[in-house]
Amino acid sequence: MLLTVNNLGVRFTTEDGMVDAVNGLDFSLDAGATLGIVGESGSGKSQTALAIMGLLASNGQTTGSIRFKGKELVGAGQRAMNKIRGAHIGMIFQDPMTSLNPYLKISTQMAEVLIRHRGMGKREAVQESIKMLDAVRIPDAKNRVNRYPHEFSGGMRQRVMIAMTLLTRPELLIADEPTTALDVTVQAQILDLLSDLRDEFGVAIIMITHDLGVVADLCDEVLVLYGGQIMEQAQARSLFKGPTHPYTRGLLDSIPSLDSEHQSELVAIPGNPPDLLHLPPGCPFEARCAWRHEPCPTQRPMLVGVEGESHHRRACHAAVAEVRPS
Amino acid sequence: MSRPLLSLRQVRVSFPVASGLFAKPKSLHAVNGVNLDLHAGETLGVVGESGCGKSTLARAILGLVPAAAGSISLLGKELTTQSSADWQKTRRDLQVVFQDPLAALNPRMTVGEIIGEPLGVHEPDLAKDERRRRVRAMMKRVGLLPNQINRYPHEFSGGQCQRIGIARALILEPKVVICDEPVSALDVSIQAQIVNLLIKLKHELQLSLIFIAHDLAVVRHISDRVMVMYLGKVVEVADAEELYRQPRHPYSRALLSAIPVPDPDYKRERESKFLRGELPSPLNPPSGCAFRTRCPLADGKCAQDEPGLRSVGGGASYAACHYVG
Repeated sequence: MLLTVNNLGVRFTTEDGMVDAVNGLDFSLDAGATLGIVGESGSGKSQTALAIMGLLASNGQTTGSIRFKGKELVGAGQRAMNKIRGAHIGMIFQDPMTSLNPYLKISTQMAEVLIRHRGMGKREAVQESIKMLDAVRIPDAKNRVNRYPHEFSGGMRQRVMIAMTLLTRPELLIADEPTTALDVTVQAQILDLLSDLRDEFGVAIIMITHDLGVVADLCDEVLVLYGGQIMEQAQARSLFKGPTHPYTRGLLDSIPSLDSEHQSELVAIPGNPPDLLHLPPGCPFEARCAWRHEPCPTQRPMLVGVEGESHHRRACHAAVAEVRPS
Repeated sequence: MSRPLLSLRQVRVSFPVASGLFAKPKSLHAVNGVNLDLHAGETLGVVGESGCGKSTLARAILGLVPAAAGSISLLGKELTTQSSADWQKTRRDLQVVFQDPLAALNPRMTVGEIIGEPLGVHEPDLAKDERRRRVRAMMKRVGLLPNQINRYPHEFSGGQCQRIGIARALILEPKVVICDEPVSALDVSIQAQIVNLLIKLKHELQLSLIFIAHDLAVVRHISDRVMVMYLGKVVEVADAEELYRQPRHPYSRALLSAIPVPDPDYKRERESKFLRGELPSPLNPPSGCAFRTRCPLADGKCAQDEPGLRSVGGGASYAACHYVG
């Protein structure tokens, strides 16, 4: 197992009280695998990623356990984390422009990584950077390495970010909404690139997104988060073909598909996303759920396996047969 | 066919761009020769990638940026040359819903004041009670609770704020509403609520909508006809279902094939793959067909002759390409 997360919690102390952004997450990831984490704003998907990276805001606290190649990351010191970040776990963000330093040439920014983590000399580091820019299919990498970030388009900047992250050959790449700011045609190119790089470099990917289409395109396995908790976890195929949680089903039903009936009423999920300051003691999705049962408001459903299917877990009081579309 | 409500002919919107300290500023044509007809009760979707001019087109119709050339007429009245007093009258019939619902609402005004403000401007003689009654009725219509009338925007979620923005746009009972990315800032579970609301209101109030979005599946769902833009030009217009079933222009095809579909068994036809390259600079657009630098069908003719929109496939589809038909 490359990464094992157990009972992960992320809590923020705010002026209005304690906010549990992530609450009791369990999951693991094999080397070279691709995991999608899907959720809306406030679902805890980004905080999960930041907790793994040890990059929570200063009022945030991580509890539980995150083991990376057997090493515990929760409570690890800054020094230990600095070694892991960059060298073993890389992260790319939504807006590549804000992740790059506008004052420095790409070559300087990329070489810095290799000089620091690999102890390379400047010349060698720049050569290696050019190779990596080639690998992410930036045309004319040899010349473009000497340009500044503003001279690149959005899609090209995201390629630069990916190249920079892969320089140290990390085992895990965390991508937080990497294509959300990009146009669809560019998004398609970046998704193709990530999928190729996974095969070329054997890097495992955690893809954080709100877009189920992106997950279906790239991921082997999916976690669906809501209110900081896992609602459903499954292989991508069984999740999309047979969702067993009302929230997953609601999400899939509410997206207009390209062959849905034109101008028909979409099956919307009623209500609004939960207020993390006032989460109910039971299931966080209870207030918006069409399959509500008696214990839902008060008892938090356990995440348990779906009978007859390996790698498929759900947290719901309603029976599978009730929820799953026939 | 009846006369269109809104009609654009050869509309161009240009922005001056400084090219050097002493050099004459260049012109960037964000919208370049667009024709468009919007009929009563129709929803026209406008799609394209960032920089294609779709939002600038909306702003030009609304008079928020001046059109450098061409004509825009609403209900037979020319908008591009009219005075600002006339513009005020026009805004009764022409309203807009913006992308970021919270940013579009004044945080210091209550919901009642926000939704009622257009009435205050256009019907200043309206009694206070009557104004309030109409605001409440509109709130109910868009799915807000009338007893929330004294609350402030920050007390509402994103989806509810968008409902407030829609209520404000509709309170004057306009004929045409321009929706500029009205659901892209909302969570997935909320988007469907707003799309349903817009479809419902369109029928109830007999609105004509221009629906601008980059989410192609949402646009298909809500629109009767769809217009595809590239570098300030229209490359294809067709009935929504026809366009998605059989996109004609190579750019439309690439755009549609790039949509990620929530089905792991669906393999994107990687037509998007041949969309190598980058969007050319609008300051220095390619000669001839603007799309030719990224097009798999392009040849010498495309570099010389700019293809015009012409009828393809016998139906109501129009595409600007030498090689489809």
